[in-house]
Amino acid sequence: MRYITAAAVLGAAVLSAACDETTPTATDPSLLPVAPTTVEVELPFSEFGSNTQVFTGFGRVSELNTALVANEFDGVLEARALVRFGTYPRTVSVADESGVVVTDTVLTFVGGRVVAIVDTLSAVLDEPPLLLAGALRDEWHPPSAGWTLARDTVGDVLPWSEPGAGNVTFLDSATWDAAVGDTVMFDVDSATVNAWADTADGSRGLRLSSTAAGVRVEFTTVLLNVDIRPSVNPDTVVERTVATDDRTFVYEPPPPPTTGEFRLGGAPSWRTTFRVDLPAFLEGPPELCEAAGCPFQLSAESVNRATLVLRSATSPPGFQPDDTLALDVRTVLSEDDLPKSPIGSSLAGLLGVVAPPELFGDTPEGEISVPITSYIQDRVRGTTPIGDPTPEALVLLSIFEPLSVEIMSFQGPGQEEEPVLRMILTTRVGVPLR
Amino acid sequence: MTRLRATLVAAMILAAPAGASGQSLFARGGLGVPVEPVGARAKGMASLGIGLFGSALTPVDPAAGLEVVPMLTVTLQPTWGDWSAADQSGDLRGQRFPIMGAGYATGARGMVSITLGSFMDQRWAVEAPDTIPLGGGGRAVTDAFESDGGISTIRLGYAHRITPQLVLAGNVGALTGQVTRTFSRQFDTTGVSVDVDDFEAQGRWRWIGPAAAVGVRWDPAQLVRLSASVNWYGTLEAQPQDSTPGPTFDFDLPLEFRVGASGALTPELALSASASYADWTATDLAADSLPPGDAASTALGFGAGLEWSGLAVGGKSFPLRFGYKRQQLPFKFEGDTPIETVLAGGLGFNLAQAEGVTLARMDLALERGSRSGGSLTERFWRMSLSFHAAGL
Repeated sequence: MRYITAAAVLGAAVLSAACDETTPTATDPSLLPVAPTTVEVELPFSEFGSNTQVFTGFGRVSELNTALVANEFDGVLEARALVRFGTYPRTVSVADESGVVVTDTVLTFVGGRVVAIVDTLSAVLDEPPLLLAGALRDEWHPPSAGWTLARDTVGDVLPWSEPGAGNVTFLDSATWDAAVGDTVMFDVDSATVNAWADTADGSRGLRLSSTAAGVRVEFTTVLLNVDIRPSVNPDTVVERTVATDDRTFVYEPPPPPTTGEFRLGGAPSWRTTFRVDLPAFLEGPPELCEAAGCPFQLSAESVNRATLVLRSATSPPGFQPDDTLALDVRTVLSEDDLPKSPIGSSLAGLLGVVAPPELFGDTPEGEISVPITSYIQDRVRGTTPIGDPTPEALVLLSIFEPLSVEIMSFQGPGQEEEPVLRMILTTRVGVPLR
Repeated sequence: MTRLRATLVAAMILAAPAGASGQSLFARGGLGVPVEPVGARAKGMASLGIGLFGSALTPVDPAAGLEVVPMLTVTLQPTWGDWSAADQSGDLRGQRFPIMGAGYATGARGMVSITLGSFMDQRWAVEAPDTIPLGGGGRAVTDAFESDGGISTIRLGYAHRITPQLVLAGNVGALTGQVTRTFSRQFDTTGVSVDVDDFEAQGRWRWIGPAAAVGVRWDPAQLVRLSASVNWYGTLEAQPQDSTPGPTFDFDLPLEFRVGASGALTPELALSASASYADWTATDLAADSLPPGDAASTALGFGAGLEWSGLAVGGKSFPLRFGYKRQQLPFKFEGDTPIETVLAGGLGFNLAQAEGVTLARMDLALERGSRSGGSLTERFWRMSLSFHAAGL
């Protein structure tokens, strides 16, 4: 038996030494038993898309957590920033008259300042604009407040006393000069500071606006610095910063209705949905027939790449992007439930498809390609890789909702440069046995 | 302890790679490249597996497997080498189990056997870079084709000693196996910002067909052995599997004839010679089903070798073997009939013998060979290692 053991050991050693597999691989293309043809084709929207619908209402302005001020921006857009500050400090540590540091809980708020920091890159202005600060008088609901409604929740609608966040008590004005810095300060009187200390007061809040025509200014930070006189040392004034609880803006007018174009983004966000129906056989275009022959049977295996090519259009005035946006494409899981249908996971990836702002200006020129290869393969096959029926519709939307008040617009069906489905197709070949 | 050793042996055998592939670019023609289902002893003597002294389990010579005790054999066979054709060249490397078998003696005159042996290897590949017009420009692609699979035989046999000098035998079984052929086009994404999915098309077929053989072994004198066998394979079917389109293909395979003889030149030196012949041109594999110039041909092979048993250590013999073999492959390549030539050497380890029966033997063979046809030449080393146990 020991000889057999030794033999097995030798055999295993021989095999271990020669266990690699290297298939002889020729490089002569004439040995290839098949020679498929690969072509690039474009299908106009009318040949694959239908039932286009544009919806809005996804997300709220308050979710942007930004404060936008505009006045006749692009000749149309009015926007006012609304801020509600948080709880004031209840104690301060300060030296008393004998020099001992004590914690004082009896505080007197004697005034304050609003410190607003401007996003200088996104600001649009011809000259340093005059900015106005006022204290809101109407009760309002930060998550749902709009231009005309101070509260807009289910079963509870409350209008402003006048559109644009109602009447305000003027606090201060300041001119922001970009050449000086990015910070604007507004004085707040002691009465207002004390009024804002009452967190039960539903009307407390700050409104920022501008009277300068053509202005758009976005504030990245708005804080309230309060001046506090402690009881232990009335000759001392202590400054403390109060953070914001809510930061939003209201604007007017809303984007106009669409006129056939695809619209995405904005706040609340817009989405565009359409149904995808691919023909089983392609009868064209001519370059396909010339290269691969027609009718061309479309199969999942033959689709090497599929992109939805969108040609940009001018976005509505006041909502044209001034920064790069990103869009996403997802499947519509229940077309009958639109616009509230659940949607599938992103087909465009985590970062989406980048859309530079110049695409949507007054002279839009450009296109972006949205990769949807896996979806088109599934749609042709009729099922997803796990065997579920492939959703029949797609939705285009911004990568986050809302991403910005700015809107992405693309040429829609029937328009001069309607969307196309650009595909790289390889002719289906049967591998021969010999 | 014995159990422990047995477990160790089994574990080592099972742990060895289970691949059963050989590799040759000549496999692109017809049904592939034949693989001889013989053990290392025959390989070391460049034999075609018939007419050797002693006993062996092989499906191509059913009469060779007659022994008076149960027996078990397995052969491992790594191969490595290179190939060249015109301005191309490359490596090849692989391994296979060309033959595994077991026999059970039914009394003193008969033995039932079961063998699993290689028949055809169908593993080869092509990879060709190209540039295709796409989107108004050129796009680099790599087209690749790979054939992966082979055909084996499994047979149940019976050998019967008619007289002390004459053995008649036969076996029946099946050809079995599968082949997967895959074409893919890879799009080069280097320097291109967009990814393009690869294109892939695949076909998979299952091989199935009958196989049988009859053989005779005659020892006209004490020092002479003559053997002959006829192998019949019937109609081989290639049945499409999964979603592979197309019909079932039928291939009528030819009869294969083998003859062999051995003679003892001295008490310690034996000479063996063998030959095989099959007329593949008579099958329906020819003409339109093969690439131009690659029609089936006749396959004639012969081999001859010596075995010297004079080397012994500690009472155990260690036979030395040498041989030369020349064999035609059944499918032409670029109009030529490929020929495989082999110079072989081998060494046997008779580990345990009792009453004239080898109870444990290990054989090692090393072949240096080449296959040539058309512009293609392959040079290879092939090692065979057989384990043979009897009286288990």
